[in-house]
Order: sequence, then C-alpha cells, then structure tokens
Amino acid sequence: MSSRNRRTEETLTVENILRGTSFGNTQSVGQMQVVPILDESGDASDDHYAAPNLNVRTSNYGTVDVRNEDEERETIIPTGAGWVTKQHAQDHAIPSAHVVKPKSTESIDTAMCIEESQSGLIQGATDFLIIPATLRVKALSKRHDQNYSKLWSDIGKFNRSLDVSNGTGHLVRFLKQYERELDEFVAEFEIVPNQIGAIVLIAGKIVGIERAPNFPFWEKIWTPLIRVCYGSLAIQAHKLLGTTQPSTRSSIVMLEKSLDGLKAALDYAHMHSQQLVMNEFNKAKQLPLKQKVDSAMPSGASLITIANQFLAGQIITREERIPYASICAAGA
Amino acid sequence: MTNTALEHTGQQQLQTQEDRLSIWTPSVPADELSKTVCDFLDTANSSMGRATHYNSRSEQQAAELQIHDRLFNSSRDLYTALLALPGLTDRSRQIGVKTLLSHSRNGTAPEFLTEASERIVLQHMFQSLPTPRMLKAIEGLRTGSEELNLRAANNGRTRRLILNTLLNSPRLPLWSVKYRRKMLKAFNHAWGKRLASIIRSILAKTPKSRNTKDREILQNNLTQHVHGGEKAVKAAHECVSFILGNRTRMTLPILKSYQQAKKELEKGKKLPLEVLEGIRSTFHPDVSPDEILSLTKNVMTATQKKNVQRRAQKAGIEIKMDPMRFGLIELYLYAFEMGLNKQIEDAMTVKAEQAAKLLNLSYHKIGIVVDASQSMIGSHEQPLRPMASAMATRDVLQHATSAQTIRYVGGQPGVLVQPQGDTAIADAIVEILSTDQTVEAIYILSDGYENAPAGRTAEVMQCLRELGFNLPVFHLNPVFASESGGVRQLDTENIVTMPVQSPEAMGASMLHGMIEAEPLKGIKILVRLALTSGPHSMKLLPS
Repeated sequence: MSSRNRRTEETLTVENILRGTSFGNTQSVGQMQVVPILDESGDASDDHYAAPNLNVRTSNYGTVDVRNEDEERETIIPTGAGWVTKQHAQDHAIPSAHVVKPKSTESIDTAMCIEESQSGLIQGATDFLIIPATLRVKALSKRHDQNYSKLWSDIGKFNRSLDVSNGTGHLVRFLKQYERELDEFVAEFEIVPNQIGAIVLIAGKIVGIERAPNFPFWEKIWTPLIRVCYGSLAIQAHKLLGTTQPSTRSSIVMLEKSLDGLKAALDYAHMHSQQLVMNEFNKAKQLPLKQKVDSAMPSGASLITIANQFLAGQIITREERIPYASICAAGA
Repeated sequence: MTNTALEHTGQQQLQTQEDRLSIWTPSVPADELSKTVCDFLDTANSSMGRATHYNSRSEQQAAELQIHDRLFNSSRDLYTALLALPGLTDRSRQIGVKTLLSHSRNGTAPEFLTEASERIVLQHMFQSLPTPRMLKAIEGLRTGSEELNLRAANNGRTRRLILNTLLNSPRLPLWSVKYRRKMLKAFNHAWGKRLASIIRSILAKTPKSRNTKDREILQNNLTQHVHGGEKAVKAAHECVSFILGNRTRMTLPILKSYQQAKKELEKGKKLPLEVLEGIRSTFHPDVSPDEILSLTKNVMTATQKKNVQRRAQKAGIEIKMDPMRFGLIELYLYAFEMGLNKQIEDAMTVKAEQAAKLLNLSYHKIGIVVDASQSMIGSHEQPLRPMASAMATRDVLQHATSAQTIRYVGGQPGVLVQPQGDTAIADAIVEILSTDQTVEAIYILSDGYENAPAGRTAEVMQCLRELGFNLPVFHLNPVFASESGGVRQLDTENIVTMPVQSPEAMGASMLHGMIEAEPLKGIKILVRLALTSGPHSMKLLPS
C-alpha cells in the first residue's frame, strides 16, 4: 500500500500535521497573536523543497505559468499565492498549492483573476502575496473551476466589508487603501530561530496554522502570509473591536509591590498568555479533519485538501511526512 | 566672496542676529511650534529617504517632506537655522537646500535671520554635503519632482550658489574627471545650454585669440565667481573647458592623465578607481579589472579602500584601509561584511571614546537595553544599519559612563550582534533593575517595534513608577517610521523617545526633552547651537 493511501486512511488532525515540532513564545500586537512553530531538533524539517523562487507569467486569462527558478530542488507554490503587478495586466492568484520541479514551469489553468475588468497578461513577476484568508477559503472550494472570474463577487463582498471604495473584484484597491497597516504587520511579527511555521490567532481565536518544509522556505512565505493573508483579518478585527486586547493576552497584575513582585507578575503574564493561547490550540488540535486527495505531485508527493467545521486548507505529504500545511479558519 | 570676507560678514551680523533672536516670537503658538520642531528633529536626525524593514521608500519620502513643509511654513528662519544642526542626515540637508532655494525670500515676514545670513547657512549646508549628494541636490534643483513635491529652482541665488561652490572647490580638477557628466549638467543648469555652449567655444580658443566680447562673457559668467588669483582662474577655466567637452591643451596633471590613459592605461594610475575602470572597459577591454585595483591602490579614497576589500581579497591584492577615517556605524557595517579584527576593534574603541567625550553625560551608572530582534536587520537597501547604529550607540554610552548593566533582546551578547528573534524589551528593563537597583538611567536602543507583547514596556514602566523607581528612561531610536511621522515610541507617558541617526550627534537629540518642557526657550537654545556649530564663517551668534 502506498504511503499516500495510508495517509488518507488515518484520522488526520492538526496534532498529526505538526508532529515533531514545538512552540515558541507568543508574539502579540493588537488583535493579532502569533505562536512560532519550531523545529528545534532539526528532524521536522524537509530539505527536499527549496524556498519558492518563482517567475510567473499569465498565458491566458485564468492560466498562470509558474517557473521554479531553483536549479536543483522542487518547490511548492503556496495555497492562495497571487501576483499583483504594476504592469498593464490582470492580477491573478491560484486557489490551490502546486509542486514544481527544478528549472521547470507549471501551467495552472484553474487560476483566477483578482482584478476585474483589467486587461493584459503578466509578462513576468517574482514577488507574490497570499490572498486574504477570507478569500483563500472561498477560492479553495472553487479550486477545480476553470473560470477566471470565479472570485470577483467574493472580492467585492470582502472589499465592501472593509469600506474599500470602488472595490468590486479588485483586490489591489484593498491593498492600496490599507497599505500602511499591512506593512506594519511585517515589522511587528518577527521570525525566530528554527521557525518553520506559525499558529495565528485573531481576537483570541485560531485563524491559521501554517507549516513550511524548512527555515528558508518559511522566511520566504512569512511576509506574504502575515501581510495580506492574516493581516487582512487583523484589519477586520480592528474595525470591529478597536484597540481592545484579545482575551488571550494577559496584562501584568502586581500582587506584591516590589521589584521581585513585578518580575513575578511579568513572568506570570507571559506564562498565562501562552497558556491561554495553547488552550485555544488544544481545542482545535485533535478534531478530525476530512481529507480529499487532490492530485499526485512529483517525487511521490500528494496534495490533500482538508477540512472540518472550523478549519479548511491543504497539506502536502511525501514519504510519510507532512512538509507543508496551510490551514485557515473555515469561517474566516 | 572669499572665505575671509565671508567670516567678516558673519562677524558683522553677530550682535544684530542675537538681538533679533532674543526678541523673536514665532507666528504660531509656542506649543504647536514645539511639536513641529520635535517632529522635525525626529525626521531630520533619522530619515534617509529610503525603505526600511517596514515602510516603502515613497512612504518614507512623503512623510519626511510633509514634516519639512510644516516647519518651513511655521518659520522660514527657524527651518534654515535648524538645518545647520550637527547630526542631521545628508538627505535632510538636501531637502533643506531645495526647499529654501525654490522659495523666494521676498515677501517673507522678518524674523531673526537676514538674507545674507540665510545665504551663509545655505552655503555651509551645501558644501558640507558629500560631493555625490551635493551634485544630486543640484540635479534635483534642475528637474524638481512633482511626485515628491519639490519645485525646480533656477533663480539667481541658485545659480550663484552652484557656481561659487563648484568653481572654488580645491577638488575641482578631481571632480572634473570623476563627476564630469554631473558637473556638465550642473553648469548647463547654471548657465543654460546656450550660454554653456558659447562658453565652451570661447574656452576652446587660446586666451590670446579671444576678443573683447569673449573676455567679457567669461568675466561675467565664470571668472567673477572664482575667488582666487590668476592661477585659480586658469585652473577653473581649464576644468570648465574639459567638462564642457574640450580635450586639447590640458595642463592640469589629472586632466592630462585622463586623456593619456586612453592610449596607455599605466598613465592613468593617479585617476580615481571608477574613472580608470571606465577607461579600461572602453579602451583596454583585454586588461583584467583586477589590474585597475592594483594600479589605483595608492590614490583610492578611504571609502573606496573600505569598499573594495572583499574584491581585493579575492584578487590577492593588499589594499590597506585606515579604519580611523570612518564613523562608528560605518565600522560596524564593515565588520558585518568583512568580520572583526583587532585594528577595527581598536578604531571602534577610539571613536566611541571621542563621541562619549562630546556627550558629557551626567550619569555614572546606567542600564542599556539593546534591541537585537529580527527587525533590527533593517531594509534590503541598507541591511543591518539599525543594528550597527544600536551597537555604535551602546559603545558610546559605555564610554560615557563608569558602569553599565547591559541586556540584549533577541540576539546574543557580543561586540557584533546578529539580530534575531522577538522583542521582549520589558523583561530586559526589569532584569537590569533586578541586577542593579542603583542605575541612574536606562537607555533603550530599539526601532520601537515591540511584540512580546506590544505595550508590555508601557505596563512595566507604569508599575515601576508605582514602586517608586523614578529614574529617567530614554529610548534612542535609529529608524524613521513614516507611519509615526517620526520615530516609533514604546511608551508616551514614561519614556522619552529620541531619534539617533549617529551616536556622534546624540547631543542635539537630547535637547528634544527640553523643547517639550519649555518650548520657546528650548527652541532658541537649539537655534544658537545650530548657528554656532558650523565653520567660523557661519558663526552668526556668539557661542
């Protein structure tokens, strides 16, 4: 029996997906919190995949040709990767992850336009974003549709929810209107040593679980993830909740009025915050995830779409391991 | 005007200037002006007009221009004076020059400077810019920029400033070969293309074959701006002629070398590295670029020697650099690239000692929190600059006091700290006080992006105040943040935040607190500091 089949027969949980990893200290700014997922032993990393060094063109509306520039290793195009350019061209994104062989081009004909009514084809782009988590979940459900306009109404709805003017089907208008806020998320949440993933919380609830094959891969996808994918959720939360603190952030309560008392209060606040965050994680980690093998990938890997009532996303499995996972809150 | 004449003019203005400043009251409320001045200091001491880890280049530039405009519109004279403060970034001076030159002084309500004193300050600012930046500023005056809200300036003041600066520099022959295209643009801007072309034709003739009209044109447009004897005039004529495109009858050695090197590369060994490299690639493509390193190693500038170290190492050529020629931040950036050695460490120590003497801190025991978290890497444009700045500031503070308790956040302790990890500043403050409760002040060296969690430093400071710890806590921030319109703060209640672009110029930043406390008095002290900090010719006020 192939490893792929064995994997699909197991009950998959977030706990299985993150096996072999540990957690770092929670970083917290405003409504957003991030728990680094670490590979402290070195065993949880998979160097089979290079960090995504991509060059992208669109050969038709709804078709993106993604070239892996790495000469030796395969790479993974992350779920929800998108290309917004200043060229006279229609911005595009893809709903599903893909594996691309070294120095090869993968033509993906299920891509979607994220810039309604703009004409023109992308002539080459290297920087990518990852579309807002809200849209990523919608796109995932339409991942097999070959209809380049499939996300326009969802983008319009998303933009309206954030008061983006003239936002029908144009993700770029959201990006421009909130450019400053999005940039700040990049600075506020920092990569720590040995990090290969993160749990993301907004307003005290888990909204994302991300795992990359290795540290260089994580370094490459962290900015796109925090800036737009999860940053967009933080903006939504800020609109609703203002400057209140999330329930999973503890403040300092000094029981003993001395420097030692302050030190103890500080330590307790750190520990308690971490505990509150992990309590949230524990609620989610053992819930079974339904799996659907989407497609076989190079080198015996499989792309599997997973979901339960709270979470939805994709994983890539290879040789009994899960080097890549990208999961968002289903109701994000 | 000669330098002596300039000094005399400066001296004449002393008393009047001082009187005017003493009775000057700003046209905007003092509190409002104080805020504008503090924002300006934050910007002018830290902004490089470049992208940071967090903000794009255009955001940074738009934010800094807006702050410059605010101060200029509040008080032209105050704006002019503060541009002369030590420690301002070159970028701020460039914007200042453009802003002043593109707005006529006519019709401006009299304040405390005269037209002549503004000219002297302007000239000082212009001349204190590194040459490439000065030439870039001239280019900016020629083109302007709608996007950056900078108007082109082509008035008499601008022309005089350009010609006086370029024609009287002792480095004019060097600039003529090194920056000949930029110099050509500058002269075309000052004279207009038609007049520049006429001057070129006249200079192509021998002096004897020039007629009266020719001599008149040269006198009015060129010779009268040269403040020197016959030798200086002759050299200026030859350099201008070379820049405008005449290449015959050269007598100045560097100009002769330039022509000769095209045929015989060896003859160009006194030319700047990049000039000879250009001649090699065009006229001697078979010669290896490494040979140019070897040929020019004795004429390289200190900066070039520093910048070519890696290339020279690969090529097996020894090029000695003198670390004492660089500032502390540059030495740290060099060490990040090439590694530390004893020579660099010794130079760092001397530089830190020198800067510490100028600082004159009144504290003996201090705590220092060094933020070495990942965001201190900075931007791709200037990698590791925030970290280098923090380490340089740490060194100066160490030499300015007799005892220090230091805690690092993120990166590991050491001379050269590699930024990594998250930003837990609050923990470090408590640790310092737990180690030594007698520290008299705490300095936090950080970009101000706190995440473990955000706001914890402010909470801890509040608790410390409740516990009776009333020591001052200063946040020295090396990174301009456009979203803050200055530098990002950790705690607005209990921590004084100051921008520090260079630790050698921390003194001006320290005045920040005083301006907040006593706006008008603080501003006037700042003006005095600014106007007495430049060369003697600019000492418009008694120090």
